[in-house]
Amino acid sequence: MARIVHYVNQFFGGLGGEDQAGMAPVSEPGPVGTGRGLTRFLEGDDRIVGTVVGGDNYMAQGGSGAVDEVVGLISRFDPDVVVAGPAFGSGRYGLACGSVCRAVTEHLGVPAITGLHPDSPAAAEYRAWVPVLATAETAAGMTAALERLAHLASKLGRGESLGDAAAEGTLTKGLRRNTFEDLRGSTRAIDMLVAKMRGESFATEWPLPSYEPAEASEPIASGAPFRLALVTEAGMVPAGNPDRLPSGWATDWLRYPIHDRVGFAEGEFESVHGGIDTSFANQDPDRQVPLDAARTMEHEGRLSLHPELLSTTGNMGTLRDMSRIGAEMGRALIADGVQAAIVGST
Amino acid sequence: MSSGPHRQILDIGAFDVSDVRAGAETAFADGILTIDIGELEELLSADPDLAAVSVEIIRPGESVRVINAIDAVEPRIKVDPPGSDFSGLLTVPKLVGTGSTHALKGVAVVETALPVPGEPRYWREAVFDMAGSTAVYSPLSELINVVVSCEPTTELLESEDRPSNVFEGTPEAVEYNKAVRLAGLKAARYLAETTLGQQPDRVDTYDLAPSPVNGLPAVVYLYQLAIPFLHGEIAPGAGAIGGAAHLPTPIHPNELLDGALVCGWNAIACMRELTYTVQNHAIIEDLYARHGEDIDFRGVVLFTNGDTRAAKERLANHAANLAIMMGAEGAVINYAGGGHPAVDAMMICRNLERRGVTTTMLSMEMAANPGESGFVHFVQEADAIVSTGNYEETVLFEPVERVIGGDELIRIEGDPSGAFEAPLAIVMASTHQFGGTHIRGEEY
Repeated sequence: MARIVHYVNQFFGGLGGEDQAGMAPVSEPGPVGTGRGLTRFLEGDDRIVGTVVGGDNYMAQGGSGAVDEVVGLISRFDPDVVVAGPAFGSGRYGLACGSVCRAVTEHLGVPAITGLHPDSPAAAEYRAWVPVLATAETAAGMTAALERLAHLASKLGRGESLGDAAAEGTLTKGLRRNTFEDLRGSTRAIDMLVAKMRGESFATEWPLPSYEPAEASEPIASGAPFRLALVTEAGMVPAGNPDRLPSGWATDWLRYPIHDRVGFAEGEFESVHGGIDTSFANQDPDRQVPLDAARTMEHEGRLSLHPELLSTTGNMGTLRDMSRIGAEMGRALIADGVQAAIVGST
Repeated sequence: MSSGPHRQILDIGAFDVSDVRAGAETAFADGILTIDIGELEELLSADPDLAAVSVEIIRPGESVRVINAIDAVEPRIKVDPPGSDFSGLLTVPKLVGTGSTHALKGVAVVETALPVPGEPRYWREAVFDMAGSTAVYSPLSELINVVVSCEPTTELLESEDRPSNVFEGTPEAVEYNKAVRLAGLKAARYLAETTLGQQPDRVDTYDLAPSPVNGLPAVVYLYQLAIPFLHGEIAPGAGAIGGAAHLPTPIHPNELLDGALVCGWNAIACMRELTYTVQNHAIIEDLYARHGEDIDFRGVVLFTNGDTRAAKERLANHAANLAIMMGAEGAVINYAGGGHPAVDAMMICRNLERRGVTTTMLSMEMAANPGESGFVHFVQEADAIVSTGNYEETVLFEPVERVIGGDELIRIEGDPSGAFEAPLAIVMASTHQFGGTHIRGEEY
């Protein structure tokens, strides 16, 4: 028998809609909400021993502390496997499911699985770390998703590993590794060319990356004061780089107080970006991050400035890490009531 | 007897080598190549740019690691017309790719050379193992290798270490590296001379005759060079690295197979354009094999890369023009590796596709982190790519009994005979752009 703990949001936990999105995580014994549906498909003696319900906004804004709270509640049920969601194509709920699954795997050493639409932001962010059942985009695909999740959870709960992504219906990790083919590359290239010329099906061995188009926000109403944040991927840090922000391949971002500064003097802040000539930015950091200009406009009453600089290093950053960092920064700024940001890029 | 112009028709007589041994006299008989090591060392040491040259034989399965490798050459001799071996380097530039050539199969001459001051070091690490789990990566690991180890002169070792050209190095370092390559070519010719007067095991004929079957799709190969020597000169279109970009050049594939193109630069080992890989060019061989079967092979266009936007546009348009002028309905493009070249190769792919030519591309992947896409640059038209492997993937080198080519690795600390981890990039021809090996990247 596998002891399953289920994670759901306030809506699928039956505790309310958007009005309850700020609720802190709570736990209840046995299945709740979506979990009742999941129970119908469980195999053998598998059962849901407990459910943890987290509010969408609480999880989105609470960072790793909120995830730790959920993991703490989950651990009390002593699970063999954790199921989160399915969250389909949803944003906040999907990200919470992904982060909970990843934390459960890493901190409790317990397998975890969630169900997400392949194009959801959470799928892109967590597929490398946790098994993700590919689901429909909306809860219209609930029954099919629960049936598959029950089966996969049963396998994971018995300590088995999941098979090939295509066979299991899960997403690939989205990672690449080397393997060997029977035919050499030159022969495969000519086979592919002949198939392509004949209009037959062929599969590229290296799919092009797809970038989500970034939608521009609505302009801020002209003349109205607004809250502005300064953000940079130029690796701007206090001189000496006290938090050891890397010069490339950054996986995290930092906040530095700027509320008491009218500008950046040379020698107080520096760029640790490893992919550009940083001498100009270091001579006059305001030309990398325009604090002096923003402060002047603040004094003129045209805007109010967010008290922190959000900084990371974009050099050699992976699309995955940078997308996550951008999303985290965005959520943090929105939570602080910021309406606009200037990203000083390199 | 046909009238009209004589096509370039090349016969390569293959002599299969089952073993290579040291002996009193250099000779080839019954599949055994015997080498008078002393005589060969004397021949190669005559070059004043080299202080000493030593020769040894290594075989697949032996616990040997070769480091500081420079190039690999298949032993070849021109039988007809004689005296045109490695045209432009061992002779004045001559017509090659026609007549008859003898080749010793299953053997390569591999030069190693100690690093010298004034030389770019960044790419120089070049390694392959003859046994163990890493022996699957280099095509050289499957060959019996005659390793020619070259030592620089004391003067060179004590010379200035500040090259004005960071890609090639000081003139002295360039001269030394050329001497090392010449030693390899001389050794290759010397060994193949043993076949003169003998009947090869088989003869492969390369003839770009009009396809005997009508209606097959015409295919041109667009070959992106990584700056080797063509007939002894830096190849046309040396690009960002060698200077101003020249226009792409159409060339007969037989010339490339017959020693006209020789490795001229220590590119990253995984993508280095080894003379051996050009002599046995996998794409050209496969296009020839399919010629008249399911494609009509029309020839090769050489190109490199521009170093400015204008040069890239000019080059990419001209390469597509040449391919279309040659009748291309389909094109195979290879990407030579590096940053700039990725842009040019992708621009050519886009130009061809937009002008109605179907393309496939061979490309190595460059993902230092497995979550990265590994692309330097891409266009949406590049929808048919054959991956020749991710060279940033880390591999574990196991301890070996013996190391040839020096006492230390340049960018890796510790004893080179010991265990260490390094990216596949340092293994000779491991993710080679001609697709001669079986490795590829896959998503999981």
